[in-house]
Amino acid sequence: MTHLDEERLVALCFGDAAPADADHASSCVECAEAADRVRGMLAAVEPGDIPERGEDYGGVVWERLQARLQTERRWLRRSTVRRRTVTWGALAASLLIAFLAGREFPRPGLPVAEAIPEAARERILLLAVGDHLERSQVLLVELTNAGPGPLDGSAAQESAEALVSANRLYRASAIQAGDTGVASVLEELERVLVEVAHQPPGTPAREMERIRRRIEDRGILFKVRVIESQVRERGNDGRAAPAIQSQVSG
Amino acid sequence: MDRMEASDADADAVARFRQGDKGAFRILVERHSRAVFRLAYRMTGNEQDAEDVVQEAFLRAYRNLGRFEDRARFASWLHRIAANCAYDVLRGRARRDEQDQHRANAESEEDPMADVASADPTPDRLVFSGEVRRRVGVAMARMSAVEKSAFALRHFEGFSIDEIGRALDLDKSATKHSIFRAVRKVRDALGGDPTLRPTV
Repeated sequence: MTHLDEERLVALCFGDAAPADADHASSCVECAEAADRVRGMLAAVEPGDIPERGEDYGGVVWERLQARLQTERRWLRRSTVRRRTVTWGALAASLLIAFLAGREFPRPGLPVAEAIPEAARERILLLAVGDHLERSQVLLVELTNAGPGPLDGSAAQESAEALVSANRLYRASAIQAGDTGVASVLEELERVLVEVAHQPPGTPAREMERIRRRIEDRGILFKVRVIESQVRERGNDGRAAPAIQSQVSG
Repeated sequence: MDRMEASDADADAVARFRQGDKGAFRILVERHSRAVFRLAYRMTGNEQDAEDVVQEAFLRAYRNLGRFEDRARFASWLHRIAANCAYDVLRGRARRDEQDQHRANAESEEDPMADVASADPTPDRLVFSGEVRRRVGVAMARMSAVEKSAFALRHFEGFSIDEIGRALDLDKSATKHSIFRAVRKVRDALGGDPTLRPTV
């Protein structure tokens, strides 16, 4: 048998080698020595110091978690006024379309860039993006918390449909600005929104369950939450998201 | 409490939760938070990220516990969720770093790895554990999110290949290969010391 290559040696050191490789190493001095060197190297790789957490840490986590769960419940309550939210979403999207397409605003003859100060435009856009992400979270939370069984299809679909078009714009602008992180999260979000929006009436429970699982397994809600907090942060810093800024100044 | 008793207590809390006693989840949070934090910190290397991962992992567990069947193995399940959350954080960070790097490269033509390259070791420097740690840190920084996650889970956390695969959504072969690539980066970073370098 030929000697073990590097990859099989590493697997051997972690106890993951195929039985034949382990047999070979036990009878081959050269491979056994090579494996010892890998083990010696791995022994030098320590996890480093981990910040200490006290005995009461679990209680602290629980308290924070309670706050998060309450927030989610609040979102769910707010989603009962979904219709109004959807209308606002459509308005925000229209506003954004107007910005991105460079349409003129009521002052005839003046392009957007001249009609509205740049800082104000950036704030409006950041607000729109933040709201879009928040509304998306409401829907995602609703989907994931719905439990087994089919969802209240029409209401969720209405929200999803309204969010899809705005999401496309944000994603396109993120791609154009080279903001691949944001674009990739928006792409994942969009797939879910499109799927929910396009489910035919009477969608089987297992199909909704598959969508829920995808949201959970891929951590889409978490990612959207992270992006939203970054967008809000940028807004507070007075910096526009690169994806948006490029469109505005382009 | 030994491992068997802890597992029984977990199973009991999970059963109570599934019967509608949502407060039983608190028992699970209080019992497992520190371990989840350690896992999250080992993977992300950042305190705030680790705290976020802890929150997100328990939140996901809370939402899915009603569908979780294997009650006796709650800890493994929770750790897989946490590993998946930490992996998300690492991927997000990698993308941000990549963008920053592109921007930095556009602004300057300097070699981005110059600071690393200029610190090539002489073998005697590596006898200092601090230097070894620093170079391991460089290797970890060069790993992709999937390599770092797979390596940390296997080397620091003792996850099996199957468990890592399930946490990171990889097949067995891809999991093993990710670990191998991570180890190779460590080896390259420690390349100055022949006793730490496998010659195969």
